[in-house]
Amino acid sequence: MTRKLYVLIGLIVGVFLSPNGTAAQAGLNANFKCTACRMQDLGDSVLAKYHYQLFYDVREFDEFSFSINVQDATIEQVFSQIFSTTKYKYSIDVFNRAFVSLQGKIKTNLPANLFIQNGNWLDTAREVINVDYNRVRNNDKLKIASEQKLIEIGKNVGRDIGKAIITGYVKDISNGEAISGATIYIDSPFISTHTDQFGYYSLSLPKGGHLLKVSSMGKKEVKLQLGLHEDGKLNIELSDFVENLKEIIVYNKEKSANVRSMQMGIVKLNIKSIKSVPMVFGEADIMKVVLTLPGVTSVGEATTGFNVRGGSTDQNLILFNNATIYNPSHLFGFFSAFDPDIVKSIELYKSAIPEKYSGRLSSVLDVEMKEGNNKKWTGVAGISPLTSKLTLEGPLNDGKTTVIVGGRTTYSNWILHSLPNEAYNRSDANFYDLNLHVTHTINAKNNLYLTGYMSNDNFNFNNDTAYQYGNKSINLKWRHVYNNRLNGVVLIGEDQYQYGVSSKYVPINGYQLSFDINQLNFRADYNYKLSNKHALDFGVTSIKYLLHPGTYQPFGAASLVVPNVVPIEQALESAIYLGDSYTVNSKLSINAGVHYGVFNYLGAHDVYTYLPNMSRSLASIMDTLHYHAGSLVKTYSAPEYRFSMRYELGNNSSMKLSYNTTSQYIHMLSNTTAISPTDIWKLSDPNIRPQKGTQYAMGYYKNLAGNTIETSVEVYYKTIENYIDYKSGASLVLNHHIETDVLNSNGKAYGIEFLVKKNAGQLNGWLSYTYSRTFLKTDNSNGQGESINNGKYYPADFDKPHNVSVIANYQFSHRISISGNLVYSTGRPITLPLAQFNIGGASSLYYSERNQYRIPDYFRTDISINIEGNHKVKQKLHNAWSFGVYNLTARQNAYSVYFINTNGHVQGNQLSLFGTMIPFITYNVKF
Amino acid sequence: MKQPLSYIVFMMLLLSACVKPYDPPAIKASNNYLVIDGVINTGNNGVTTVVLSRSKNLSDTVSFIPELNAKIKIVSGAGVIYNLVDSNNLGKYASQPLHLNTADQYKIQITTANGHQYQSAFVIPKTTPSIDSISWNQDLINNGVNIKVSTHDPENATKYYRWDFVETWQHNTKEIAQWVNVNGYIHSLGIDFLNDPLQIHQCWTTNASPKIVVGNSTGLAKDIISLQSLHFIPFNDERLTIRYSVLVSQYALSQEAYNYWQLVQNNSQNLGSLFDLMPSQLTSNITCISDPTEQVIGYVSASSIQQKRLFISNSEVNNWIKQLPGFECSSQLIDTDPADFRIYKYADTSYAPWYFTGNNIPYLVIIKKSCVDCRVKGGTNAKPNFW
Repeated sequence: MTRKLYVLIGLIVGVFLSPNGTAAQAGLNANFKCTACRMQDLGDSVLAKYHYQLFYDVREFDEFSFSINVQDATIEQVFSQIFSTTKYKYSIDVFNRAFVSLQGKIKTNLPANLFIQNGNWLDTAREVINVDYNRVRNNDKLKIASEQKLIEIGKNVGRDIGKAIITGYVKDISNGEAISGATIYIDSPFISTHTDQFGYYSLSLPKGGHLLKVSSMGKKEVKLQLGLHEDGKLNIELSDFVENLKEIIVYNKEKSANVRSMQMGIVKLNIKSIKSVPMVFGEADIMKVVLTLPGVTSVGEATTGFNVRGGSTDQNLILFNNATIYNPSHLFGFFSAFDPDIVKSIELYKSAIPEKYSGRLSSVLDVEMKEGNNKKWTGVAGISPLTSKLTLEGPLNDGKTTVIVGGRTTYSNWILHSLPNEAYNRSDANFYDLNLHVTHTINAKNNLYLTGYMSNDNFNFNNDTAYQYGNKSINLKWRHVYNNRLNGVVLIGEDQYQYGVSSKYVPINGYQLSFDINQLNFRADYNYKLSNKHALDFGVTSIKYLLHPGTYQPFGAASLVVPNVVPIEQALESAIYLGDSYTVNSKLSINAGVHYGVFNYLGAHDVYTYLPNMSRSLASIMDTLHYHAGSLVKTYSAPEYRFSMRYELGNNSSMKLSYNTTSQYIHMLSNTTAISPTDIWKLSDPNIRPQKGTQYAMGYYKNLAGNTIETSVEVYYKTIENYIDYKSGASLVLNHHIETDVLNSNGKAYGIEFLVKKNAGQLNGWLSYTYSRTFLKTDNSNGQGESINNGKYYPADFDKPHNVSVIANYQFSHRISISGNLVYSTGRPITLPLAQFNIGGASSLYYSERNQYRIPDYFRTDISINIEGNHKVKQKLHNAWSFGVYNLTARQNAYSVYFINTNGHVQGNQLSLFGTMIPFITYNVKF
Repeated sequence: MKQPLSYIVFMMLLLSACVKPYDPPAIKASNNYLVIDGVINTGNNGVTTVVLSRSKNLSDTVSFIPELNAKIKIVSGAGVIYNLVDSNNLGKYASQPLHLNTADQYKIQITTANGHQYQSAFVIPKTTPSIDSISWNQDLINNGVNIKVSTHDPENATKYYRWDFVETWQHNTKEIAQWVNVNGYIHSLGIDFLNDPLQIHQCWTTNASPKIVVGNSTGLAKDIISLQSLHFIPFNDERLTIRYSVLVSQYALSQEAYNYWQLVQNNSQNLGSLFDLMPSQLTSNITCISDPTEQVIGYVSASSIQQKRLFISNSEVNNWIKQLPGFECSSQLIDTDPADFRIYKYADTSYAPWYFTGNNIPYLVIIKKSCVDCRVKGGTNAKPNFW
């Protein structure tokens, strides 16, 4: 194995190798003094003094340190002095690279003339590509790049003056899947670009020879020798970075995406890192992983919601291949609604939200679906006591069309029914989800993408109250490449979220409560590559909303329930946007954009007007305005500004700033005091103003230990206008005039987020700590005639100051790994009833001021052991086992806290959903 | 997917859900706030009654903790003081009949037995218009009886109202005993037994309104309250098996007082349902002077009080039962005392004398007490004077 890898390295660089491996060019001489130094210091020094890059396996040098003091020495002399008396072997090649290893001397050359006849060895890579040998004709055809070749684009007529644009796709070599967010760059001068969600890139470079590098998280970096003579196409395939446990992990001086990436407050995770986090029932869970990221907190155990940087749960836009998902969970948050086998990656935008997105104040969670394998048919199947799942993917029509379909279902009823508890026997819980993604290549310039998603949940506890909810969405995208500089995507789609609660427990009171949101989406997004320094994004978007905000019907023949239907709501949310990514120089880049949104609340609707400067109530209704179907009831419009910049402070660190404004026209109201929270979504209307947010954020990023450890600190300050908080005694369900039960609040949020992440090595994972506060202030300043807590600032429902999460994964071997996680957060604020009293003949409750107390802190640890079957490449089936324990400490975390009035005294109850250790076991098979 | 499945050995619970009591220190702490319930009565010959009590902890089952030995006075803007006295030591402090000047303003000052001093803000008296009618109808859907109040203020000055009521109903025992056990001796009630003060066949139970009712006319051009729902009696409830009466009191409120009562009303509703309301925080107009951080419950307002009484008989409602079902009326024959047959010493107190039988030696027939003594179900056997 060892040998193979070294040979592989040789292969990559082989084309340019000198037959005389260690005899470097007439090298630099330098003074070198270093006391008790580590390998990293050596790496820094040889780069600075000799312009050499040092490669070594970090783990081999855990204990190693050295001291040296030499004058006017060559690099060879330095290395000789340091290593000759140690067990380490070193080698130095003509490419200004030095290798040090325990495993023996690394061969930096291959047998002479293996690839090439013309052994005209040169000093630098840049010069190499200028030399015109081993040429491959381009003919303007798409080419699959391979690293050994010099790739020429266009005819080399010796007049490489000006610039040329290369465009193409970056794909995964194994299944042809597009790789988004890959960086394509050259080092000198530094010019870079990123691939879009389709893996498409466009890069304008000076004509001539370049060493083009392509890197992406979890992929092996590709370096291509490029001879660029005119505009052309270049498709690049990347292969997985297979971490070789026993062998070299290269230490290199390249900055990682963390430091280098343009925007701040973005977390991108691919499905591989998501899957390494232990999860209950061994099912990788996207939402749970999101919750461990800095700045993200959970509403509570098993809840659907998460809060980003002091925003409420409804301030997160969750997109699944462009479909808006209103409820991203199964079984009330036990599982996430996204099938991990069908997810490619997730991106969470916490501060610098791209101008193409809007509609929510706090964040955008962009979940990208996999594309089907365009090379062969494959599948994944998994089984656990609770769920089973199946995913199939493959090409049709010679790979022009790819299909991926996946589904999951539960069959948990049998477990419930076999429990010795009668309440469980009479309970049911099940869910399913179905996913479909079809891609079709019409020709080089046109692609079609069809995405379908459907999820459904049923839950019935003790045959009493039944809950049902589901998401459904479908969308079709047409992508057209107009030319080298311009490409665009047009999307039409429809999303739906609905839920229902029903009960027949007391036949006379049998009811069925239902609610739904429908949205029709249209958007057209374009990228225009103005120059290497400017990349423009622009487009138009439009969403048509239709809400049924509550329908209450009798359920069962005996029911005497009087039907109650809250009238439908309709609105149109449209926007145009323009943004520019401006690369000022290799250190500084700026992203600026504006998103202009218009929101039209549409009839037919009856709108109440209220007496000014008075608390809104049925009693203060002044007038009722009737609007007929299709008429414009109210229009709100506002520009939203997005600005972010990055400045590199050195090789390993950078600083980022951002400023963001956002608007939100659809709001969720949730009654958290009930046992089973029921959420209501409400559109902005003449009485409910849009929420507005402004965020300032700053971050510092530094990579340590050869980029194997990423660290970052981000701080933010946010203001929120027109946040909707509830009046005292608000009633939310089936409220025909919700404006009488809410108040406009202004909020402020601030926090600091720390993240330490180790990406490589046997032990990897991350540790994040977030301190965040959110305060609201509801006073009488805007004439709403009422205040909360006398107009003082009070903690928001989701104000949870301390959040810690640790995710660790230890790889014993390729086949066995153990992973664990730990989550801690401060309990959320609660308004407590403190006393009972009698007045006016009635017994009533005395409550504390709003949110003055907290429910118990949340703490949970999970552990899982993953065992994979053997790794024989030819094997038909690859299987994997995982087993572990959820909630290892069996802590009874509060899912909800509620109060029940029984026989004259009020009992506080804390409901824990997973109050014991839950062992799990899962079997997965890949074919 | 073949063999491996059969190897799966597992033990798990999907829902290890558990409910445990939640009582953080804040709830367990002694939360005995002073509760002030009363209206400064500015009517002619108006008696102001203020009930002082203490709030209790959520888990307390005791129904009412009166605050005794406090000193309460009404203080007018002009500085005139009217004392209230708790003559029955029940925490119910009452004034003499007063003629308070409605052009003045008033506040309440309290000094509790522990020396804490409380004071309300000055309130301006409002004049309560008289009640136009107390009406009722039998609900078409579920046959229950709705009781409603209507009123209006020709001055258009009241706008905000609160009502409370006291309901009284008659309930009779299933059987009639003309013999009554009084301290171990059986008395005869005679022919006109129903009018005998010892009778226990007919009882009258009186209850204060179990809920707070507030209403307003701010949305209307005129100050009219029409058919405001006050109370609902479910179908075949005992209260309408014979005759029912309700005495409604109406109070005019300021807007602030109205808001306060509305929140109290919200907080008095049932908890733990899907339709739970968000909790309300109450802001009283009474403060503790000796310790401004001490919370006080209640809102003092001043107004005249208007009252009206309604009667509904069983004959007026449709298909209403005349006697609650489900009485277990087992009886037995016992020997009487040879010395005096009217001596009653049957040990089982769940039984009561019914009638005597036998020719030479009298035997006593006893019956389940609840079948002959209406006081078992509560109430008094003395007919109220308004009945």
